[in-house]
Formats: sequence, structure tokens, C-alpha cells
Amino acid sequence: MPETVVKIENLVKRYKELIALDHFSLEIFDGEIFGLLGPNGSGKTTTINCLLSLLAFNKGSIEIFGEKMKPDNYNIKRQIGIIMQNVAVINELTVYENIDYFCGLYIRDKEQRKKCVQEAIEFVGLEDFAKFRPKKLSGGLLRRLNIACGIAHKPKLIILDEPTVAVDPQSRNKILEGIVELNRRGATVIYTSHYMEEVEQICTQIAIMDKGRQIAIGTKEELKKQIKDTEKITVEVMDISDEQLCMVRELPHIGEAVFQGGKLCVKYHGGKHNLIRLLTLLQEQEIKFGRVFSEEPTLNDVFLEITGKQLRDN
Amino acid sequence: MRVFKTFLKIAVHKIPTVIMYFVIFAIILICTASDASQNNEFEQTRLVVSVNDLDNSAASRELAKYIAKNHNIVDIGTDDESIQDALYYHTLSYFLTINEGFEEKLENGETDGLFESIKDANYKSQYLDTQLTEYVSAASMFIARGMSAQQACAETSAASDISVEVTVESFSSGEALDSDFAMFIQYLAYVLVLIMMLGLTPILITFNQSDIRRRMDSSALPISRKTMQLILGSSVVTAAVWIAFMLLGVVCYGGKMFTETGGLAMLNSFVYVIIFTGAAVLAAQFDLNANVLSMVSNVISLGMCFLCGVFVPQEMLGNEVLSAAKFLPAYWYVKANNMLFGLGDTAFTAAKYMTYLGVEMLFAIALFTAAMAVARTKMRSSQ
Repeated sequence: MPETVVKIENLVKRYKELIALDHFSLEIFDGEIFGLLGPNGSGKTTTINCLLSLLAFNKGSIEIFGEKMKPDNYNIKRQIGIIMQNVAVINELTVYENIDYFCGLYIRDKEQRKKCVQEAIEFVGLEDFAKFRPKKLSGGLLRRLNIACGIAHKPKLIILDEPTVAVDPQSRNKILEGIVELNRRGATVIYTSHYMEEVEQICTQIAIMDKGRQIAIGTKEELKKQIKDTEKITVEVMDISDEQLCMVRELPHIGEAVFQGGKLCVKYHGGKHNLIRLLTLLQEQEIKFGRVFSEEPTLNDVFLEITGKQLRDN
Repeated sequence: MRVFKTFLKIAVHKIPTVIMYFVIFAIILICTASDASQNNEFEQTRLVVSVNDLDNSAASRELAKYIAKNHNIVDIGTDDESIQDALYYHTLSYFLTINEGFEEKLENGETDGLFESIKDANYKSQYLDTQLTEYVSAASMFIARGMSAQQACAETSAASDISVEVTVESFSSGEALDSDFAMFIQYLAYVLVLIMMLGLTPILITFNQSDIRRRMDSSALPISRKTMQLILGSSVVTAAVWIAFMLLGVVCYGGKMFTETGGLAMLNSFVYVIIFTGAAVLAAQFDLNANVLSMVSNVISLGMCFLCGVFVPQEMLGNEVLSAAKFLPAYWYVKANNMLFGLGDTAFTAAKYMTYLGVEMLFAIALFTAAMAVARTKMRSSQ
């Protein structure tokens, strides 16, 4: 059983009338990439701020590395790295100086720090830009600098609070690869995002939040099992009679089958070989079909199933 | 000392702004210092006068002699065009025509229509009008005592030679008034505000940015140590700015900086710079960008200096303006300087001087307290 790195129990945080965290509980184990997924305003950043003792909470407890987290527990803080949504660097300092400054808030020894800064620069691939000031860097390079500032002191727990907001796809992939690499090197990662694809891509454990509450937790496979519709198959067909549609609906594990706009859309509740069975039926009935799409449920479907609304604003 | 060292590194980047204001101020000082010789010495104003004596009597000649004794006489002719040209090009200040019958009228005790004048718009020309009025009045007195017009005019001229030695007493702290040095100290009220607001505030804003503060507050550096280092950094920047200007004072005015007056003036400027350290700390609590900060700094520095008597002497400002200015620190800074250099109507006393400095200190305390209150309110609202 891996060690518990973070343990949050019944956390309650109120902003006057608004309940930002409503008896929120969580346990994160060593070596995990833990995804905190939820729409904007669901309480992800509030959770992170409480974790870092930047925000006082009304009720509950937080333990990190087995110790109670308090604002003056610098022993714990020393082992945490934070990477924020906005780039938090000093414009008057060079790339090297920025990383050195933020690393210096954790490591006093000059030689050790120098080594750490150099490794961080290499890790994010900013070797050629070490003497550049942030204003000279592109958006993607700035994000990398932001990450380097948060990880240079080699923290055991890295918290990334929506680090890919407004980042181009190429830089986003680089960042995600970097997070996986940091985890491979031994860091436990907490990753907050409202981009379900990212969370699905890298997280080994996912908690879905809504209105300050944890509404689901598990691996992505476990979460997807929680919903009825496990598979959605769409087939382009010229025409299908009502009788034939009824035959489709009689296939095993079918949840829903509708024909609309030249597309036959079939949703399944579990089962195996659904696609083969459906296509065999279409061939037997001599129904001509074009392209076939098979979609697995996403975390958005999980969120939709549980809350009745979309995960993303759009 | 990571925060302190970084504070100084950022401060180095603000040096060009500080140097720009410092150099402009130094150039103004040097220019005014080169014009220093005329200070503290008083001499009679001499106008360029042309006299057209139509009476040509003994009395009118005496008057012409009297004018020549006190002013520079030129002959430019009597045609209107020459007179207008001379007045326009400032080669002549006053054209006096002594009317025909001057002597006769004077003997008859008449004072109207004795002469006519054409003069330029300079206030100094009024000075000759006054002299002529006094001359006629004195001559009439002598005539009334039985003298002839010629004798009366000669006696009046002789009487005007009688002079009394005047000593100008200063209200200052005891040393001779040096208006350039006083101006240097006075104008610090403007330049120190600008430099503190444009030099120190941006550094503090950098550390106050919410994301950088969040990153620092979640680090292993205790918040108390971070705060101490920021205070130390602000103190070093404040001291450096003040020392730089005091050194400029030493370069421009040498030993005057180390006299009793100089020492007290330096003390006043030190208290003043502390006030605006407080103002810079307060301004840093708001997320002002460079343009807004520059605008706010200029409005505050220029507005306050005009209202408080830095650019315009306090005695020339209206009572309402001065009443309002009392709520600004520059008013007390200027008032203390005026007393120190004898520029106002208040005689110097050490107790009063210290009272003024005390009022300035209250402004500093108020600004630091306001900055802390704003910081605390911001922290509470984020909680």
C-alpha cells in the first residue's frame, strides 16, 4: 500500500454566504498523478489554496506527508512545488535569475541551488534562453519558465493549478509530457484542470468536483463504469425502416437507437462485440452504410450523467 | 536574504528613471547657481531715460540734472516714431517732456501739467513717476518757504543725496540667506516625491503581484522574514535616494550643507523622504501599471508642490489654498524651510521647526498605517 501524501477530511470553506468547499474529502497516495477535475468555480483552486495554507478554512483537516498542514509548517512547504495558472515570474530578472530566485526560497546552499537551477532549465528546455528576460519569451516558453520556477527545488509534491489554460496545443503536449516525466522521477502530482482530455491523458487517479463537493473518484476506467452508456456507435446509412430500427433495438445491451439526418446512433449499456453485432445485422438486412464511428464515454459523459450538465462551459 | 537581493536587483533596473530626474534637477541647480552673484545685494534701479526740455529754464535744467544723477540719460530725438521704436526695442524706458512754463508753474505752486511722459510697461518705470512726484512735492515746499524755483530745485536735488544705511535683517536661523541653497532644499519637495513614487513603488508592486505573492507565501520562506527583507530593501532605496541628493547638495553648495542651517534642512528633507516612502508603500498596494503610476505621481507631485508653495511662495497663495495645503505634507516641509531660510514672515525657533517636522512625521505614520490597513483589507477579502 503506497504512503498517503495528502489527506483532506471534511474540508469546509465559506465565503460569506457561498460555500466554496462542502465537506470535501480526498486521499492522494505517493506516486500518483491526481487529477482534480471540475468546471470553473467548482472549488479546485480553493482546495489548492487551502492545501498550501494560503487560505484559512472553516472546518476539516489537511495532512500532508503525515503532518498537519499549517501556515508556518515550513518543513512541509519545503517539499511542495506550485505551478500556477498565470505565469508568476519577475520581469526584471532573466530566466536563470527567476528560477534561481524562486529556488532560493527553498534551498539556501548556493552550489546545490546552482545545480538544481541548471537541471530545471534543462528539464524545460530553456537552455538557449537562460539570459533572456521574460518579456522576450513567447507564451509557450513563458509557461515552461513558470514550470521551472515551481519544480527547481525538486519537490516531492507538485501542485499544478490549471497550467495549460490559454496554451497552444504543441506547448500543452510538452507540458503534459513534462508532468508525466516529473511523476516518473518520483514526484506525486496534483493536477487541476477543466480540460477532461488532459486529465484523462495523464492522471492515474481522478476526482470530479462540483459546487465544492467531490462527486466521483477513481481511475478513468472506474469513473466511466459509473455511467450507463458505455459505448456510442454512429453509422451513416441511406435509409432504415421502422421495422429494421426495431430489430436494431432488440440487439443485446442496446440502450437507445435513433435514426436522424442519415445517421443511425446507437448507445450501449456495457457488453462486448457490439459493433460486430450491429454491422452484421445491417448487412443481413441489406442496409447500405457508409462511415462508422465508435466513441467511448468521456469524463464529460460521466459528469453529465452525475450532474445533468456539461463539464465545460461551452 | 534572497528577497532583499532580488529587491536590489529590481531597483537597479529602476535606476535610469531615477537618474533622469536626478540629472534634470542637477542641471537646473547648476544653471541657477551660475546666476548666484546677484543674490543678497540690493542696488538702485537705473532706467534709460530721455528728457525733452521744452521750458529750458534754470529749474528745468536742475530737474534734468537730478534725473541724470539717478538714471541713464540718452538722446533719441523727439519724433514719435523714434520714441516708439526705442520703447519697443527696450533701448528706452521713459521719455520725459518738461513742458514749457515749468518754472513759472512751479513758482506759482501749481503741480499739474509740469511734464508729460511716455513709458514702457515695466513696473520699474513707475519708480521714476514716484521720484518725480516726490521731487515736485519737495520743490514746492522749498518755494513755499520763499526760495526761487531754481534754488528750490537745487535744494531738492541736494536733499536727495542724503542717504541712510540700511541693514537687511533675516528671519532665518542666523546665517546669511542663500536663495539658491534654499531653492535646492525647497525643490527637493518635488523631485523626491517623483523619484520615490516612480522608483520604489514599481519594485514593491512586483512583489505584491498576486501570483508572485502566492508563490512566495507558499514557499519555505517565512512570511515575516520576507516582510523584513522588503522593509530593509525599501529602507536602502530610500536612504540611497536621499544620500544621492545630499551629495548633489554638497557638490553644488559645498560647506553650506554642513552648517547649522544645512543640517536642519537635511533633517527636514530626510523626514520628507520618509513620508514618500510611506506613500510609495501605499501606492504599491494597488495594482497600478507603469502609465497610471506615472500619471498619478506627476499629478501628486506637481499638484502638491503648486498648492503648498514650492514653486510659488506661500505668501502669494490665497488663504483658502493655504488652508487646504495644510493637509498636505509639502506645506509643512516648505513652511519649515521658509522659516529656516528666512523666506517667510516667521522668525526661526528650534521648537517651532521641530513642531513642523513632527507634523511631517505624522503624515509618514498616517501613510504607513494606511498602507498596512489596505494590505490587511486585501488579505481579508481574499480569505
